[in-house]
Amino acid sequence: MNCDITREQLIAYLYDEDIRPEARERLKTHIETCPSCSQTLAELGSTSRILNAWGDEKPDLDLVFVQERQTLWQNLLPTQYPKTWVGAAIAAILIFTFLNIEFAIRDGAIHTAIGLRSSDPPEQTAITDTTEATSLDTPITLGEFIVHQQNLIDYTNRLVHASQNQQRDEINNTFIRLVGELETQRQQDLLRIDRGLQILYNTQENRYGHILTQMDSVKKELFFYDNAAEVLIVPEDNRPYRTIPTRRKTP
Amino acid sequence: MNDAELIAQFRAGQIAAFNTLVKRWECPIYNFVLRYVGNRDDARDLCQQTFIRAYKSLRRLRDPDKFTSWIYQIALNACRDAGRRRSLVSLDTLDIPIADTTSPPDALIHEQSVRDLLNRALQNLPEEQRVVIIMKEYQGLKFTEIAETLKVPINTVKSRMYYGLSALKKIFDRWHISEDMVRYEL
Repeated sequence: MNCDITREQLIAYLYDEDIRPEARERLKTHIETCPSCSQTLAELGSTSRILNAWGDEKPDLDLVFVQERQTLWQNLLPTQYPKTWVGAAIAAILIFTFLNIEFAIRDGAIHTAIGLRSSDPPEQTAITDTTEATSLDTPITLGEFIVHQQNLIDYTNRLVHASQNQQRDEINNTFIRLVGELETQRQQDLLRIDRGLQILYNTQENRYGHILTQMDSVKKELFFYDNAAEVLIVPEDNRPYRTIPTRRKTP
Repeated sequence: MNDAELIAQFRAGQIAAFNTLVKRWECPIYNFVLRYVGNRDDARDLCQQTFIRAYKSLRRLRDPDKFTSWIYQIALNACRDAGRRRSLVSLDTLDIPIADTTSPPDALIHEQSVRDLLNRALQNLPEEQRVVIIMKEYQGLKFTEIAETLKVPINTVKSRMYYGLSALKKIFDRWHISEDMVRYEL
């Protein structure tokens, strides 16, 4: 092309797409007077028409997607959260279940201790507020202050222990429920397998029984043919009968 | 029911909605892949792969209105992956090597169908031009959709279209393929 019309403009004009009406009119006027653009456009159009001689083919795919059967765990686990979150939550639950984590406030600092949970069940501690009501305007000694502080720490510890116990009980109950459901599922699966095997067994038995009956019938026919002079083959259509000589021994 | 509505149904757990999408798209995707790779066996496999990939990742499609470019993107990636794994044999019936573009196929014209000749011509184009031409000429995609699928500017698409058609024109001239001949063959 020797003019300033770009390739992109020609393509847009050819397919009449992504081009404003006024730009299209300008291009049309130019192409009518420019032999080079006119020829290029004609060649592009011709190539496009030749390509279109290859029509679509019909695929013989018959793709059908079926619903994937969810496992028990997939049913139990929440699906709206990413798997990593669910994993992290389960890990946290397990850590809190099997590890004994203690928090304590001593000398104004928070102390934590982590250890394995003891095998003995921890004693249930009744949560009672043992802090004594103390009037704010009554001066107290250092000893009283320390005792008061100690009472607060004990109270906090009991709260933490109670919360842990409650959480552990909930987790234990969840696991017991899960084990129960797994056992139920297992029993149901075993029943299904048993029923399937029974059906299979019956089918095989029927099939063998049928085969034996057929063999008896064939044996009878063979006996008949062996004693016949010739056998008639009777076609299903109107063709003439055909005969086959047997190997019957002449007396 | 449009594609976006079917996608919403599929996300709500209705597998039948996905099967409707497959029925609607298997013909365009198959023909796209067929013209890209040039042979039916690979086209069938790659078409199947495309829908399996789509099934696995449809829940993650952010904008269901862009399903068209998304599904073509999957099909194109499947074709490119397969091309990297092995060099695909391009033609079902022609025995002449594809690279042999100078041999005049006059003698073959009456033996081979127009489809085989066009297939052969397309396979001779550079991949980036071939994709654009297939998407525009056969799949009827808009330039914006092609640009979105290929993740290139729209002018790049038009430019590749121009060069692709020009290259095909030269091949057709060399092989004496004309509109009249194509009409006669058909």
